[in-house]
Amino acid sequence: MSGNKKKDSFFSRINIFSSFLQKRTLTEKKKITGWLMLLPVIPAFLIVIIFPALMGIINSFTDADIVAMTVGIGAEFFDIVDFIGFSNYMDLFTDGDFWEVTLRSFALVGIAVMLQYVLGLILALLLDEGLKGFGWFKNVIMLPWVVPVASMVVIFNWMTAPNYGVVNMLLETIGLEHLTTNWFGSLAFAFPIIIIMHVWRNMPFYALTLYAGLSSIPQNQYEAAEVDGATAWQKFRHITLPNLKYPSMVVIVLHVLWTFNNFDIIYLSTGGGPVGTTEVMATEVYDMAWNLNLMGRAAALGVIMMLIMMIFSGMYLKLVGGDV
Amino acid sequence: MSGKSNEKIITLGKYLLMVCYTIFILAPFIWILYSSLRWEPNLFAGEFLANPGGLTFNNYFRAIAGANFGEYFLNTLTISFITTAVVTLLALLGGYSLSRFNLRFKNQIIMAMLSSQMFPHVLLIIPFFAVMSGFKLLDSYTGIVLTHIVLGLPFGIWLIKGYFDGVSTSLDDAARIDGLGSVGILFRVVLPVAAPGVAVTAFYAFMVSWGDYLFVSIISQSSSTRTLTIGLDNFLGATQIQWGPINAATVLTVLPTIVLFAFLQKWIVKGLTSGATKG
Repeated sequence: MSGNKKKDSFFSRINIFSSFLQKRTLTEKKKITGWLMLLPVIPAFLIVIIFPALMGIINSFTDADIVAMTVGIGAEFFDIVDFIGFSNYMDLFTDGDFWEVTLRSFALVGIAVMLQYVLGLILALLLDEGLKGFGWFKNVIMLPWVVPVASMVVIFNWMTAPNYGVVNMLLETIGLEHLTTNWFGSLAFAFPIIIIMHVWRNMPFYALTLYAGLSSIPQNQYEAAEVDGATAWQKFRHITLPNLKYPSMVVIVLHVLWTFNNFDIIYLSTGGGPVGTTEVMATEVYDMAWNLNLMGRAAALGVIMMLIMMIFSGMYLKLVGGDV
Repeated sequence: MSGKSNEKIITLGKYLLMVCYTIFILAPFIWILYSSLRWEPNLFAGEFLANPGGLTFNNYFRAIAGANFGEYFLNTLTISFITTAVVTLLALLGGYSLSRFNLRFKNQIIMAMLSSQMFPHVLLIIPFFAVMSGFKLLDSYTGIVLTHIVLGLPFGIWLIKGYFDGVSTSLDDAARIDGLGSVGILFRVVLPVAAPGVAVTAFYAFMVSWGDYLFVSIISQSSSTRTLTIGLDNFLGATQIQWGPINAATVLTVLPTIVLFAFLQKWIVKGLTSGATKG
């Protein structure tokens, strides 16, 4: 008897609970499903954003080395390292390299993104012309972008190899032997080749995005302009460019971030050399951390990179008015 | 009359420009493929086309036989396959959630995803190393796969969310009236329509994992977890570079990404550009 009663109360409780659930609106139930779907993603964000940012900032105020890193993230870490205030930052600012490397990072981003944009826009306009015989080109245009950076580096190394690279062979064939050189090892040419690699890899992305933007411009805008007797340049300036504003912003911002933070294109092709002429902030952080064993100072430089990108993103958001 | 010949010159100029672009983008691929098929001594003869002994797969046999290539290939394949599967599934759920439910912190979450692109990976790798070391995951598939998942997920979700945004919610509503739950709607109704978006996300995740050098270089400590990108770098760092096998190994490293891309090409192009043009 008593068992039955227990059962009853158990079921009635379930009933109350389920009727409570039923009373909730459909949207509330849906919201729970929504959160459940998002649940596995949230730890990932914590791991990629919150935790490394905090840890990076903490590290930048310590004298941590690789050994301190191997004890993990527990209390032992704080036993091993000493907090040294702003010393890492001071060391960076007084180190002659810092300003040179920072400037080079800016130069790389500025030159590469500008070239990629201009060349990508011209290619997008050409694609939009629908030239006969080139319909297939759109389909293969993204190939450079899908190739692993390490492979791209081998390909460019092979093409520019000192004695038997195809670039030097071509120069010899057209009688310009005096221009042949060890391209990646050359003080004058290593940096330009790095920029060419960036352009080769990323320019198609700009072209396709801008091409998609071009295709979505309503044709009647051009027709109206024609009626008004607008020249080709006026049409480009007052119809094409304004309509491309949004896709342009998106590709440029993405590539500023990607190029500034990119590490492997330079590290794998020149390692920052020759004599530091291609060293940028990203490769410097890696070298300091893993080759010079200066984790704290590397973290400080990484934090500076992060701040620069935050300022850039903030400015961008202000420009576009906060729409994502 | 002169206007017509002017137009002809302009058209000719356009074709010339297009040819330049084609050469710039495709020549490196053609040259590496061609070089990988030449006998090694012919590579150093300073001749473009002379190939005594004809073309050969000799470099490929040497690449596969030597220097852990098989092991690295298998490592890379396993790691990127698992990464791709997990990222695609999680991005599917997360992207759908962000696209369809009006959750409270929705905009903040989307902002956080985009801002993850802001963080220099060279800075991330330092805490990642500490975490992996703390959980004894250094030099393990698990450690590398987890890292790649976390790296690929934010942008993957953003891509797939952009695609879901473009799929009309009227389908969802109709299915809900038929009595399907949210998960049922996602997998039976929305997924088939949004397949291109899923393809792009999967391909992106695969690319992140297959091409990663930075994180593997720190987390991997022995040949049992080393991937192809590290292998290529080691080849290139040798004092006497063996160009024949390296060229072949490069082609083999590039090939899977190109084959996948060829299959998914139409969808990838659509998916990548849709995020940027929707506005």
